[in-house]
Amino acid sequence: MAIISELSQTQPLTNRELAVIVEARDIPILSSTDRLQRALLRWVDICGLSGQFVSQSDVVATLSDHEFLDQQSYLVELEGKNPDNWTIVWTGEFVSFNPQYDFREAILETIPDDRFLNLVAQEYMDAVRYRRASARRFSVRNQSQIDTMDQLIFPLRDSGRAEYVLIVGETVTGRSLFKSDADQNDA
Amino acid sequence: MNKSGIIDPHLNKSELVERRICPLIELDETKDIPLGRLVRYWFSLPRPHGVLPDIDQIGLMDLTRLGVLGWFHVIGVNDENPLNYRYDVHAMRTVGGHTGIRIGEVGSNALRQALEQDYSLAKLNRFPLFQTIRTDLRSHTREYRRVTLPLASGTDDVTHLLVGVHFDD
Repeated sequence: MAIISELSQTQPLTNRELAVIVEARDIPILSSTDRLQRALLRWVDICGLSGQFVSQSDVVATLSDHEFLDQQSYLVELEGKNPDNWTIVWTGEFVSFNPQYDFREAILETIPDDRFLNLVAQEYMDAVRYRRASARRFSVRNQSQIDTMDQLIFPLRDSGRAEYVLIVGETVTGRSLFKSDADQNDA
Repeated sequence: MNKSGIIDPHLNKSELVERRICPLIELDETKDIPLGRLVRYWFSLPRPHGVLPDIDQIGLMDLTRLGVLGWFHVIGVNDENPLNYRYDVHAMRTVGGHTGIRIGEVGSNALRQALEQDYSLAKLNRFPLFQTIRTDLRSHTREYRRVTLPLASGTDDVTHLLVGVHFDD
């Protein structure tokens, strides 16, 4: 994938690049884990599926009080529509990047494909724009591997009207923004 | 009306599972809103291999939007023996937490026999099965309605059942 991204800056798309499929879909029910179902259920119970969840105090503290933050979750502040201006505010222990990290850089460091970044950013913006939680399975497929991860996307806002998304995720196959079981065992 | 109860006279004298199979038209969509939505959703799904929708087409958000999150089971029914049917997903708001267990491992004899019969019938029917149910078990007493919806996996054979349950408030 790194080679493909490098080529794409200087040359027209090759067949290999075109063969890469980046997509997002609803999380298939059969492979949705208890953890994700419980997190979604808790969010729906407290905030509803649609609507605006406004934190009157510190967002991280509020989410922590409601037990929404765990080892495979992260919080992103969305400033405008350009992901270059987004900041990662908080990350759990088993997320592949750290808080205060530039969002674009963090995503591309793990999955170096602009199309993946743009798709993820679009889903986050949609969650904020339409004020609705969503469950998405992101996958990047090429001829040699499939990188797949599930994400619950919860939109919220603080009293200063800054927009955030809380992500609760899991790795399904390949590279991921969330550390694998093996990585977690090593930790 | 077909009403049946199961009483095990030897082991679980006090346990009773009473089920009534109802025509789908008796499903009161104003009372059992999530079940009504679930049945309509099942009918709306594409049928790529015949008369049954594929389980792959069903997503977590779909069921959340239908209002059945926490109130549905997915049961793998590929096995010939109903006792080996397995809860791939178990409704989180119900009693138990049975994800991963087989019907044959359900503790109550009365409940196990009822589930064995009902899910076998649902698999055979290949059509939504609507039931009203009353359970009086050692662990709990409940009255609820249930729809059981057959699903396939790449062919037209029933491999899974999507089961929605709805209790009175």
